[in-house]
Amino acid sequence: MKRRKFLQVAGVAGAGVAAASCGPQDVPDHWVPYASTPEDITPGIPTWYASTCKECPAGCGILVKTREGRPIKIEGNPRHPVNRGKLCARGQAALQGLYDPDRVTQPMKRTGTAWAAITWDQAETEVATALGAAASAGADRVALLTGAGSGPLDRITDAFTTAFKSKHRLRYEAFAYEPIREANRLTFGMASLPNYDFGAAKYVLSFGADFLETWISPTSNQIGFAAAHSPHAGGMAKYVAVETRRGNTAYSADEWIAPKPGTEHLVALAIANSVAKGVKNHVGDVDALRGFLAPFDSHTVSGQSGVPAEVIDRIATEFAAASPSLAVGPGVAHQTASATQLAVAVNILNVVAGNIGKTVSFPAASVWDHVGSFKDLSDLLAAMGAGTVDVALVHGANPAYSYPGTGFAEAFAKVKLKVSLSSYLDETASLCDLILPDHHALESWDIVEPMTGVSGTVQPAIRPIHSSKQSFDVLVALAQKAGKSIAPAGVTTAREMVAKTAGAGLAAQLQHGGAFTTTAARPVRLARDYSKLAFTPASFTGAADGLVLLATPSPMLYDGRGANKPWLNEIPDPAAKITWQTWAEIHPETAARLGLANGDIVKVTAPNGQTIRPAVYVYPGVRRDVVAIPIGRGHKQYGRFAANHGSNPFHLLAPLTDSSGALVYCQARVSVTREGGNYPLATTEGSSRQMGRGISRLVPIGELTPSHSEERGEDLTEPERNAIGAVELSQGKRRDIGVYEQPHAKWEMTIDLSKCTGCGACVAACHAENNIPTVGPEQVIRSREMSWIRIERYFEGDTSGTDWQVAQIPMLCQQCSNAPCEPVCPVYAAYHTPDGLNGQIYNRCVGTRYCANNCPYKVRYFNFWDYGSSIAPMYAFPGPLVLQLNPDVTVRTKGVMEKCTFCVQRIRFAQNDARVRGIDLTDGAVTTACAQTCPSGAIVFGNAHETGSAVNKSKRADANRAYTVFEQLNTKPGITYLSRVVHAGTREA
Amino acid sequence: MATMVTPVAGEPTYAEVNRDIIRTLDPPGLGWFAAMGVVFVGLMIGGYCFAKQLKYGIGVTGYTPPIFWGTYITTFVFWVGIAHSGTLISAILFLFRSAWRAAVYRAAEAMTVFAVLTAGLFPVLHLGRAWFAYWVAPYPNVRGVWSNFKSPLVWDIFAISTYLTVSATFLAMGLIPDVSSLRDQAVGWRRKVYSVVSLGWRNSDNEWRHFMRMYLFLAGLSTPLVLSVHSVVSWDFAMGIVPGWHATIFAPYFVAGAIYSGCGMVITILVPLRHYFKLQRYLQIKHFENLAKLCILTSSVVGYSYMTEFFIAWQSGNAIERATFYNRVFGQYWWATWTMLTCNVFIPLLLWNKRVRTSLTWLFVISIFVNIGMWFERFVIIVTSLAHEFEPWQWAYYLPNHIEIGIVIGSFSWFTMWFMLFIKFFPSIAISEVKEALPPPMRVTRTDGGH
Amino acid sequence: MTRNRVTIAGGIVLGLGAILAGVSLARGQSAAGDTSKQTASDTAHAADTTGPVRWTFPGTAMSGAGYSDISHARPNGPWPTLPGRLKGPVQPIFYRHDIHAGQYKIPCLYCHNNAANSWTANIPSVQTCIGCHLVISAADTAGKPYPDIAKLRGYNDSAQSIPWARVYKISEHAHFPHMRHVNAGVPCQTCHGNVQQLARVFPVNDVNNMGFCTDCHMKRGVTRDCTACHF
Repeated sequence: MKRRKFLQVAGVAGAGVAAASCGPQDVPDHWVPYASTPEDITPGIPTWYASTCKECPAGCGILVKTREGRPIKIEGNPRHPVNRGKLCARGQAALQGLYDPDRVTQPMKRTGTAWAAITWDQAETEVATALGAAASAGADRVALLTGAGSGPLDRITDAFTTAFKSKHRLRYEAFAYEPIREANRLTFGMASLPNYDFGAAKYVLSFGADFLETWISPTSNQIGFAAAHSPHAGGMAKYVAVETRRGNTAYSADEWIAPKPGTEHLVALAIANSVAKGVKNHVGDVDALRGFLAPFDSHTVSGQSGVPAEVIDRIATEFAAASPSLAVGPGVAHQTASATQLAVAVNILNVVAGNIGKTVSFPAASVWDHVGSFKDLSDLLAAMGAGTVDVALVHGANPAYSYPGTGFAEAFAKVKLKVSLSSYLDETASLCDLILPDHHALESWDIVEPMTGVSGTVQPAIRPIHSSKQSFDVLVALAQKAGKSIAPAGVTTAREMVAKTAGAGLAAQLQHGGAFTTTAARPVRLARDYSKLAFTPASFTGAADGLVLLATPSPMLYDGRGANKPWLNEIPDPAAKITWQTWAEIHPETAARLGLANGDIVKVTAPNGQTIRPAVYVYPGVRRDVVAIPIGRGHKQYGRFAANHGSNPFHLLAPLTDSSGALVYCQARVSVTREGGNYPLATTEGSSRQMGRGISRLVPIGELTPSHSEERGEDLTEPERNAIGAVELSQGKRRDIGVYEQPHAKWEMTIDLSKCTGCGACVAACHAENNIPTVGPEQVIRSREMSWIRIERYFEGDTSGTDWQVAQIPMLCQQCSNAPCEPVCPVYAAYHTPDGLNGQIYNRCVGTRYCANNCPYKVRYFNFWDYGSSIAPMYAFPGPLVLQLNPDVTVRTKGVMEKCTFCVQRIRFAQNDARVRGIDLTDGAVTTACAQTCPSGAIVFGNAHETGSAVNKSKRADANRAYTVFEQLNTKPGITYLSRVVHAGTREA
Repeated sequence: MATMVTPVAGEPTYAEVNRDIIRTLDPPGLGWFAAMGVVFVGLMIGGYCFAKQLKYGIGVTGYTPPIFWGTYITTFVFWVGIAHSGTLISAILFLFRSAWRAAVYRAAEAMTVFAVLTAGLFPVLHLGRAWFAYWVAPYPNVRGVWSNFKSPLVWDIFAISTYLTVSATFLAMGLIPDVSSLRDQAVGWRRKVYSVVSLGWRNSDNEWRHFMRMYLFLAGLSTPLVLSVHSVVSWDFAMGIVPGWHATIFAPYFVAGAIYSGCGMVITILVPLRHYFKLQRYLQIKHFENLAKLCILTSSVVGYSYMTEFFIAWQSGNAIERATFYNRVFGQYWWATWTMLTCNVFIPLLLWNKRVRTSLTWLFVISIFVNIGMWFERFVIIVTSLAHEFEPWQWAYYLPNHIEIGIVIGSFSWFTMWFMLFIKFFPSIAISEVKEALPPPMRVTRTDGGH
Repeated sequence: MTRNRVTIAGGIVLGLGAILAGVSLARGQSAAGDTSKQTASDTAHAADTTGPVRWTFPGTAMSGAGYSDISHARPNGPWPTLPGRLKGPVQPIFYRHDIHAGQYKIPCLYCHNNAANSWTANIPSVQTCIGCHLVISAADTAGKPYPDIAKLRGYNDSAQSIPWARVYKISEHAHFPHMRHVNAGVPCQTCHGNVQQLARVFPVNDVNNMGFCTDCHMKRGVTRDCTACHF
């Protein structure tokens, strides 16, 4: 072959291979600078906007990090009293709601099943005329259905319905805590939700409240709880969970008590009773209660609930002794027919233990005061069904998904003009005739008041991506077009309304994220109205041999609104560790009885005949007579990430209400039968037991002596100690290879397992910061999930009973000084940086995967597909989702290994910044994304070469429970874990 | 082990030797082309699978973290192992002066070269970014980045390439005299090719003297390679801290296994070769019996190594080590492990029986089992160890999928292709060395030009 | 048919070799690949493409294709004569660095101010240009402004951005902190060449060639840690 010929071949072949190798680089071949330079944007430097999270009614303050005008990350606002700089996974995932590729991009009109685009003017005119007609046709022919709202803008929407002579103004939340509000009305005379001060409580007694997941204000709860429930000078609070299913919240419990379903309120009263007995000196309220409590003595209740009398009495003594203590409940999943009774019992517990005003205090007003009950929704539906409603506007609520059974669609169809003000085509929107898309919270203006004294401002962090319009403006415009005026003079938009409300303080409020004042709690007096309630075990529909159905709120998807966000689908459920699917938790013994194994598809049939087909997850954390199914999936609509994943337990429920008008979530005994067929669970769980390998360690508080670390001494066996000694001797000076001296930093981390609750906020933060792709269920089944930080969950003890513990541990790259991954990389893609990190150079990696084989912690993740290439089949950032990517972090191509590097981009950014300013990098000036967001403050990051640094302090302070994982391998990890301390349940007594 | 055996029965004349062996080079028949057709299909399958893997990424395979190495590395080690007995027979037995090797060594030697050629594909095939494979080799570049000589994978590069060079040279060397006698008969372009390959060999005493020196020298050079190459390959694993890999026994263990699998493959190849080319007079039962004996020896060494591994795991008292090996035998991968034990340790016990080891049918069947068993040995070592490592949360289960199987098929076709081409272009039995063992021809019997 | 068989075998062998060679050529990873690229691009500038050590101080005259001679250019004097051959991408507006930075000695940071405080050096907004060119119009005798300035004012009136053609582009996997280099006193010319002499900017250096970076970092004894740029 001639040489020229050869070269041609070479060229062609080379081109071919090159083309195969590099994905498309979405690089503009043009610089398009600003026409006029904006003051607040420096290309390459992030700009932060203070705002308020609207993913749930808790109203946490957030700081939105934007680059070149697009939000790329959300962090908590340190000045905000609710969440104090922390943020949960749902709050951070708001970004993916903003960039959802399936958002409604413009006003749409439905003809049959087809949607056609129309202009805003057409849409508003059509609705306005309909509204006018409805108003003139008579009273109450217009309905406005929204989610929980608060603040001046929300109040104006009340004027909207009045303007059209209607009283159908309903703020609907699937999780509305009616029983607690009702119970507070009955016992304290105010139908409101109090603030629970978990931080001050020395003893937490929870009756099914998932207060670390979805319950009222989880982030704020977690901040307080973690502080109180981890060892500190004042000892350590004890947490006892009384519930039929042990969820993620109860993983932190020192003791789990599982009474018969529907008897929780009796247990609570029995405890209150024996507490009251213990109260010798005469306290007015307590004396008033003695008579009422008398019938609920521990032995009778023990018979009804199956909880041993001595346990009841012991809990009572502990509860009374530890003052102030705190009783909470019920949680949404445990809303039985006697939910209100349980809430009352919980109040009584707090009264007899004297917690009112200490750990339970009532703000002057709360966002929950205006939220309607499930009964209100049913009434509105009845009105709709009767055809007396002509125009219905729905905003920020998806009742078509969360209303039990199929009742909603039928009644809703009777409405002449159904208008959705949603940004997404969810189940409710798809039933409507018109969609007038709302701005996302990150595009809109608002003032949120979760409680008196906290007024958080919401400001846009990005120009509207689509041709959407904020619902407030729409309502004002509609009223105007219909000849009504609802807003104050001169106000036509939300922005003007915010400006008008804030007045002179606007600038300050926008900078600080709101105006925060401390207000006195409302005084509380004991009412006696609760005695009218019947305190008997709750009844259940369905055959007696069925399993009691628990529809559990999902800590990731909340009431289903999170299902359109890939992160929340892929971050494993903190309890079941399953992604993208809907599963049915069944106790091992029950599963054996029914002949079921993990992944078996079962047919769950409710008394009302409805069925769903989830896969079985055999789980020791539920009672033998209970089956738990998570809420949140099984959407028919709501975008590509939500639709047709899993199944929806709401279908199994009947619209029953308890005495407070709440939906009875825990109402039915269902039949669970094997359907045949099996699909592998998309779980991240390999083994649920750690085989005594000391990965996540528990230490009973009794054994936690100052010299505990020496006494436990199980870290190294004799041969291991000798071997390591010999190695170090032979290594001589090279022993410290990988540990560079000053001025180099040595980045290290401590993780306090006593604080970690396994909530998964850190995982979300890592996804946002590091452009981690979501891979979908099929790949998770192959355990190819890419999350750089994972939370492992091991069961400790005999799980056949209730006396077992859960050992959780966030596992991320340990940044070993003596790393096994580094020497085996043939191309130095894995290498040791001078500041003690295990660097990973993506563009150098050829993908031998040897490093991952050799990593004992298994924290290296391989790009099996081209997740970053828009033409690849597994593209992870379709549509606008790509705008969320952090420009400081390379998007990895296929075939390279990736892993946690302690957010090296944040470190380098801070170092460069400090150098340019000519200042030293102080401790705390740089932290990792996970440490920044951890609501428990379990993760501490810093420079181990600074003696005074926080990471060194925390290591010294808790030296007695500090340990490193797999110490016998002599990898010298940069992460030090602090054992979790437990009040070891009954064993302690 | 090397018993002096006269390789050829019935004392054929030099002329007959020439005729018999050169006959193997006759224009191929239908059978040959049919076989080549199958090989071609296999190559296409492999090529398609690899192309798909290049386009979409390693995700098309069955890899299930934390099992990051699977079928590819298994097959890589398998082929490297195959290569070894070739060198053993051609070089070491030569140094041991065991004449019986003369008849079999050429085929074995060729097998070695082609096996290494095949093995060499896999380190590239299994890469996440195969188009950057050359980064692993140290070469001067403006970036001033070098490859990491601490990494066993870099040692592999040197081990494999050295082995390929030496064994290829050795093969070419040995071919010279035979090719020259081919040249003397060939016409047309073949004559040109052969005269190039035979480097103008004229059969002079001087040339023979140099030839024998060179041959001895190369034999001496390749002998240590038999030990070194597979030791280096074994260190890919032994250097890792993975329980089940991190063992000092690995180097000898792998070398023994390599020779074992090699002997198996030699038998698998020679039996049909003998049959189709009617070489019964040259490839005799005795030769096969000797190979069988070698199998018995190496199989017992391998079996011993297995037992040592299990014993040490138990005796170490290291819970994690124990868990790995317990899982290996009774855990999720019990089937692989028991296949390995059966094929490598139990079935070869039959060879102790003389009737079995002198029956070609039996030998052929057993040799197939040996090949299967040795593939599974590598699978067991690599996969079961990775599947049950330190971190229980990350335990998983892996099975190869169609893409990986397709590529393995491709690799076998690749190997077969080279071998099929070889036997049609070069004598697969060493003419000159067979002649060496014959009494020099008397004038009266002299019939043709061959002196 | 034997002939065919030989060619098949040969084809396979050559094919493999070809692919390997092809890869290294296409990726331009080997030293040979780089030098060949540079010499191929423009032999006249071998001098300033061989590495940052040879960069020339501002004002020092460079000659060759694409460079205009500013040695005699004085403010308010005649514009530097255009070089015989212009190189680099054609821009929407013929903005002449040799006039602004060369003849009138406007500092780079006057327009590219973010280079001093940000990772990326900004391209000035129309606002920045019009700041001067509201008054400076380089009008001809008839008082008509110079055509490109007229274009600029057009962009300004319609509040449009100018779609400048991109000259330098660093790969996504490398992060270059402009501010560190500017604050360390590294002249812009080190990487961007004698821009003050360029009537039209062209890529003087291959900034994507990592050797170009490491060479300088080695010579100045500053960090060579990979994660300084790659993360």
